[in-house]
Amino acid sequence: MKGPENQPVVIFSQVTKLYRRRQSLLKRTGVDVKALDRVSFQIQPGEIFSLVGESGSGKTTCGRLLVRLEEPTSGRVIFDGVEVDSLRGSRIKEFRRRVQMIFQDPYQSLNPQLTVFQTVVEPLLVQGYGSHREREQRVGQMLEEVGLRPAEDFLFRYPHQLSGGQRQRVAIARAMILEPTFVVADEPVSMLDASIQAQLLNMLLDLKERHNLTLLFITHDLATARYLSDRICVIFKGRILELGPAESVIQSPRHPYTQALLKAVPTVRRRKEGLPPPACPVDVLAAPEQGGCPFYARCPSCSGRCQEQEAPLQEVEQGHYSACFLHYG
Amino acid sequence: MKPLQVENLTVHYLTARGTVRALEKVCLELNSGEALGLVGESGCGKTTVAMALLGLLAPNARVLEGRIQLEGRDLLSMDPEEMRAIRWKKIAMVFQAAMNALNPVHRVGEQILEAIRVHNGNMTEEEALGRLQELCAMVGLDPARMKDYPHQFSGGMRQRAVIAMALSCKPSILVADEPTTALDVVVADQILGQLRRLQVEMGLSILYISHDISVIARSCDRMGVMYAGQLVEFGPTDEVLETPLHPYTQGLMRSYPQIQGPRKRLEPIPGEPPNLLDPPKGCRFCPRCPEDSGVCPSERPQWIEYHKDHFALCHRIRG
Repeated sequence: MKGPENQPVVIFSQVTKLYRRRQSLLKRTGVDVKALDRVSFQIQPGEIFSLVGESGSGKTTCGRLLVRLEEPTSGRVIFDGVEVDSLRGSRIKEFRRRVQMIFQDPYQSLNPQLTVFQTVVEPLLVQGYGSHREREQRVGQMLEEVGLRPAEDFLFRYPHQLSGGQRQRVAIARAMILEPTFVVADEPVSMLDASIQAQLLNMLLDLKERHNLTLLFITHDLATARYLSDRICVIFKGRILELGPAESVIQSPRHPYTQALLKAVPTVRRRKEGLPPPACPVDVLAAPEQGGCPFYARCPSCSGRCQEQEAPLQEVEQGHYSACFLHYG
Repeated sequence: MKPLQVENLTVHYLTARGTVRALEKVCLELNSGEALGLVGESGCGKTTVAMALLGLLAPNARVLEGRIQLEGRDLLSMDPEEMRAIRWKKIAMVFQAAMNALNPVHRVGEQILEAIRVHNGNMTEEEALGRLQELCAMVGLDPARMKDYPHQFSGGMRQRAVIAMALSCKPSILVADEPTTALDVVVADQILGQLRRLQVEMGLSILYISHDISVIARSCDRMGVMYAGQLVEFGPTDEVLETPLHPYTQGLMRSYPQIQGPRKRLEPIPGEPPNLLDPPKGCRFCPRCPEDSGVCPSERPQWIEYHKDHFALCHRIRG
């Protein structure tokens, strides 16, 4: 399964995912909701790639497609040269060892009836790793590595006896114990307090260095994405609107949506400002689906063309892409 | 007279596992038309403050000490009837998690109307409907959507509906407990802007409570920082953010990734907040504090006014 160096580890090629929304409990028919619309990107080995978007943008769907919790409606998701969807039998097991996921909510992602030891050892059991003694050692090591020290104090605790930060550490230990090469982290810190968030972000960076990981980081927070990642991909209503090196996207955002998002990013510095414009009576976010640019309804610089046609992603700078007609002059 | 004054509020919760020392000698003053912020992490007691202000403390809560004065009247000595007359008319609350604060089986408009009717017994149906229209305009909701159910609303619209309910009886004080948590950044920004408008245009006094320092930074004139049941720093927002005095506030400021300036490694506060069943004897922040003046583990720090109106609870600070 190993490809040559510098080959992307992950390739999303024209991936579309539709969810059927039933109109009522009884009716079979329904309307399709496009969670992802012809999404293409590649992730290089050893990089941290961030998908940034608001809720409902499709960022979580990308992560779930990648770890094969969902199947694409069309298009291909490729991991290490092989289409994820085509894996069968023992190769699925191998895939699941190499690709792991960390979920957002450590209050829901841990089984309340299992102790920390039982939770973290489970992947080892599934993969048939070593003897009981070896497994115990491995779990102990892993817990210390994620900062649950001394491990003996935590082995036999249940999730309800842990704080939110400690729970997320357990979830990370469970994901890391099989030494995966690729980790999907879906908002891993957004449920936690600021001081604990910073601890975990630094830990993720350290784990990445030590284990040579490649990471897909999913977040709604541009500041966190900037802190962690090499590249940032901005996604809105299932479409990629901007993609590029983290600093470049943050310092010189090209797409009006990214610019709007950056303006709304909260900061700990006081923002001096006058009163905001009067309330607008419709919730602009709830604008109906339509053809053309998904950001059309909210865009300050849209033209007539944006309503009918969507702009393809265009390279505006080395490795920095944006999907907006503004760049066409 | 100040609209709201809290003096030395100390609240314990009696639980099966022991006494949780949730609040210790918290003092606050809300000026008329002011936005005041309380920031702190989960379990620091900020929601207990809000609940105490509305007389909604859980049955196992005990107020050991302190006074809460609302326009000069003592809230803690009121009986439930008197409290009910004040709640919502004088002081109202925007609850956390707007998703859950609305009843899913009633239309949004009905729920807001109910809030109007319950507290204004002698209002005619027409007046109530008129008030509903006014409220929609105030918070930026489309009156035509009032026949919808909560699940047909987006998160931002639900939050606006909850704010409309809180404003239904024209309170002079609004307590906003995590008003934007769980909303997207763009929507959160709009909601905070809306609240700011209401504050300025209606002369509303707002107490913001949040775990997110940026919410406070955006909206508040003065702010307090809470840690483990105590207020550890208090002052004008600009000053607290520019020159934080307490090591906890300083650590908190260093924990946020920045969108501007150089990208440098975050310096998180080590450890976790203490268990309030058995808080540290001296300074409650001492076990996580990078600095130790010797007396910190054993002696309780006192409030020091470092600058005019800028206070901190720390042994290292000299006025």
